[in-house]
Amino acid sequence: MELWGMPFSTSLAFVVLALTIIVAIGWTIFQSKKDENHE
Amino acid sequence: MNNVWIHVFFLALYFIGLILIGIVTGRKAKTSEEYHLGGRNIGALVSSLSFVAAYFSSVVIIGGGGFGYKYGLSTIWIGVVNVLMGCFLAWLILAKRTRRLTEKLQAISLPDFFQKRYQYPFLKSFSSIVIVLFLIIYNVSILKGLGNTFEVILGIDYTLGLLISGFIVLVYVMFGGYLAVVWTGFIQAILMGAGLIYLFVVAMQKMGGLTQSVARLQAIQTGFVETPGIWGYSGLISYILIVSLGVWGMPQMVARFYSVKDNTAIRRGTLIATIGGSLAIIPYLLGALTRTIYPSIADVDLALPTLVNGIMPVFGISLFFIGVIAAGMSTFSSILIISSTSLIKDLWTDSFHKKLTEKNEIVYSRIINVLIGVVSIIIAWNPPGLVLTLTAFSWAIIASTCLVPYVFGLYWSKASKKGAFLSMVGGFLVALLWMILKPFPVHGFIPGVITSFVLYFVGSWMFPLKEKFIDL
Repeated sequence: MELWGMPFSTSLAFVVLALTIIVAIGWTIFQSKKDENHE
Repeated sequence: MNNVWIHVFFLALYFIGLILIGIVTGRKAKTSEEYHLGGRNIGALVSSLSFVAAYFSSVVIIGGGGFGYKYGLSTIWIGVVNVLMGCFLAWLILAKRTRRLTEKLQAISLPDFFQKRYQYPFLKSFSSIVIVLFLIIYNVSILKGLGNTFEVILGIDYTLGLLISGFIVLVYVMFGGYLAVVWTGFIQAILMGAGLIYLFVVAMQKMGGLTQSVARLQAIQTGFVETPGIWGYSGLISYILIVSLGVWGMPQMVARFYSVKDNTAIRRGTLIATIGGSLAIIPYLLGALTRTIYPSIADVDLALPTLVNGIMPVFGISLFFIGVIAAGMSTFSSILIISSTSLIKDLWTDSFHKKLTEKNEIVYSRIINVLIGVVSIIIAWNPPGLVLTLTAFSWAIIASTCLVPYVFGLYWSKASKKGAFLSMVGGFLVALLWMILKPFPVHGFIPGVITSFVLYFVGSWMFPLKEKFIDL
């Protein structure tokens, strides 16, 4: 996998960044639902 | 010359805004807790963006650009792990527990937390001294970044730039306290983000896109685009850990968790800090690609300011310039407020048992802010190293001292005061001696934190708690 001509070892950094943001969004939505149900 | 006056005009507007915030928030700080923690009532947006501003100071913009220029694209990993560990996981794992425990224990600073959590006053005195001494070194690295930016963009003397930026921060911190720090930090994060995004867009236009500029960098040397590239795994991983995990033990960052309003603000703040922090990769990326336009910059800390000066239109230069100044000032001000809290609240009134009225506490905190600021400016006059190297040194010492007793103190109720004592003193000594003697090419942060971790558990096992005194 190459992003913008960068080798895999460097491109992977962008994948990790994207996954972090996706997990953060998912976690926030999950916690909101959980807190709503709790209330 | 005209361009310089445009920058000066925008800078003056910005400075006036900061001082006004200092004066307005200063009127709200009637008690010591309001001066030092803003009354524990700060919302998600302001808490998380001021966290980002304090984290990604001029150190990341100027120093990160410099490291990117020196070592290439592998440094993007520093920015990415900063977002993962330093923003997302830090908020996820530390924020809620810290907020709850510090309120329960009535702790207003990290040293105060150590004393109340472990019931051992020595921990408070020791950690306050380490925090104040080594945060001054961190201040020096921030001021160097500010001075360098003034030097390149305005073409004025480094020392004059240092004095102007240092003076403005001192004024608004002195008047406004913590509330001024978080509110200016919030505005500074927005300016910093806008400056970085604008710079990225213009740089990509001028460089012909990311793919082309990466290809040109690869043609200069393959090591500049590979990971770990010319830096090697040892250096890269050490720095990633210091500036990503190290933040978990940095008092000026952790303070955002005591002062955040409630759990809803923490949940939203986690997401905002993660997304806002993502901009931290831009300085590393552009720092590396600057080499394709300017192949031989002697002082690598000047890489990004040189790029900005060379490719940005005048208003863009002003925006970036103010963004960098904002980034440095937000961190510098956070450090000043933490240092004065440590000296006045933790050392003077609590450790030395000197009684002060609420009013005098605020007055003395203001005086201490000025003194620490002036000492930092004097050392930064002739700084002893690169911006990111100085930062890594001070973070390594503070994190080796505070990180383990803080993080595990939130979760492990069986930790004993002797375990915390051994962890704190052992981590501090190993990190300091390692960086002085340099026995192996690994940064002192790693052996420091490992020692602190091992001694914390060994000490708590050998000298266990006689009775449980706290519900976590």
